[in-house]
Amino acid sequence: MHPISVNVFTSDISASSSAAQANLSVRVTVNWSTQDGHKYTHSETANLQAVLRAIPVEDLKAFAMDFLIQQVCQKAFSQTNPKPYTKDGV
Amino acid sequence: MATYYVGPGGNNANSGLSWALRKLTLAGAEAVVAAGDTVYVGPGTYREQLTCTISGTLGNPITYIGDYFGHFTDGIGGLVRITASDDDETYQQRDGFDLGGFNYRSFIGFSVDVSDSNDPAWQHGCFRVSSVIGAVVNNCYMFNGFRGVMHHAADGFVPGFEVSNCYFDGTIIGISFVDSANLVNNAAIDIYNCIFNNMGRTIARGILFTRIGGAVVRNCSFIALNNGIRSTVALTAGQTMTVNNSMFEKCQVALFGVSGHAGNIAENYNNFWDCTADRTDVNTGANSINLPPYRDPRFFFRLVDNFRLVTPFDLAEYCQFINLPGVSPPAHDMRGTGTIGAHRDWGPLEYDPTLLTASGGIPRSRLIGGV
Repeated sequence: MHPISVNVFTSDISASSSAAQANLSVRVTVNWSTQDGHKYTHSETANLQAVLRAIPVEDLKAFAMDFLIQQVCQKAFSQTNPKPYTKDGV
Repeated sequence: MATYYVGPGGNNANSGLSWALRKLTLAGAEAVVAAGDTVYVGPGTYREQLTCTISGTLGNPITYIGDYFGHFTDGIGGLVRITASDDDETYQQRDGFDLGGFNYRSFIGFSVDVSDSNDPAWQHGCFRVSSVIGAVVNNCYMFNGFRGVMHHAADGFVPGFEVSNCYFDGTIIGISFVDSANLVNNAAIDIYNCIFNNMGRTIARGILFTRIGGAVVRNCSFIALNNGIRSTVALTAGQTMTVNNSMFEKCQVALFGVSGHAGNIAENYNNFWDCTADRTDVNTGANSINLPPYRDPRFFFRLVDNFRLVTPFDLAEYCQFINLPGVSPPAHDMRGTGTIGAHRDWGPLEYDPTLLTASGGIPRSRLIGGV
């Protein structure tokens, strides 16, 4: 079932970046509904650890948050019952 | 209040006071303009960056007009292109127009392309309106470009500009207004009737704002972007960016706010469709909806029908929410069409059913039964 009205809230963000590694952790809560009127929610803490050159923490948050939010949304949508569905076909 | 002319075949030694005595370059006109003056730029390709050197005044702006239809210049018409490239292979200039901190400057009717390099030394834009008030960018088409329109400062300057009826096609960031050090309140920024499209990179944003509160976005379309609108730093308490009557389609995150500051982007009366997330850290507008948009594909059929395309913006976008009431939409859409029905439609283009008929003034395509 097609997810619509998708709202995400983030919290508990921690980010660090060193010459060797970048770390980002964020609590992501996804609330969405489907066209048949069902409402769903999914919440989890998403983590990213990557071998990156030292980059500003703000840049890390700006770019990596997108990735983690997308990842959590797709995971959440895949759990929608009764018909599992992922918006981007993955 | 003088009127000047610029065009191919001109000479910067001319007075510029008639088409016959036109200047050759925009820089040639810039050397002679004063507050209240108008400069008509004839069809052609101008491989230069215009760096402004003088301000207009409130009520007497200095206005450059790209004369697409040729009514005021060559009588023929055509694209008025400002490009930062000398050879269409590499880019030599950073910006299309750099206002250089000068106020009350207006630019209408230009096609502008500059480099979309990610190199910080080149991350400027089609229009650089940093630290100015009274700037207007209207009826312009921007493509490539790391930024379409940009205000970047670090001094707490309160900017004021209007961007309307513009198409941002492939600019990495459509409009970027940033203060890298200070929180700015009550900026007078009005953005309406614009289409933001085709900015596929991970960092692509229709509109990016950092530390600047007070902007208003009305009746715009954000299509296939990473973020439609993104706020990156918490604003002063009570400050917002207001978003009304706009449409967000197939964006990764349509409205991306700041964690713990969900009121920074104040949205209402907007439509969201097929975005991975409609909002991240943004409160839901009470009157916003989720309905499928339908495009009017006539622009395509006219394009393939002996190039009888009336205007590149001869398209409309409509759905069930035609004529739903909204908040302070502009009186006209980007074509100049006024309200049809009880309310101005959401988005940049009013759906005009009269255009479906041959008597509507626009020839129908043969493919749909026209002449």
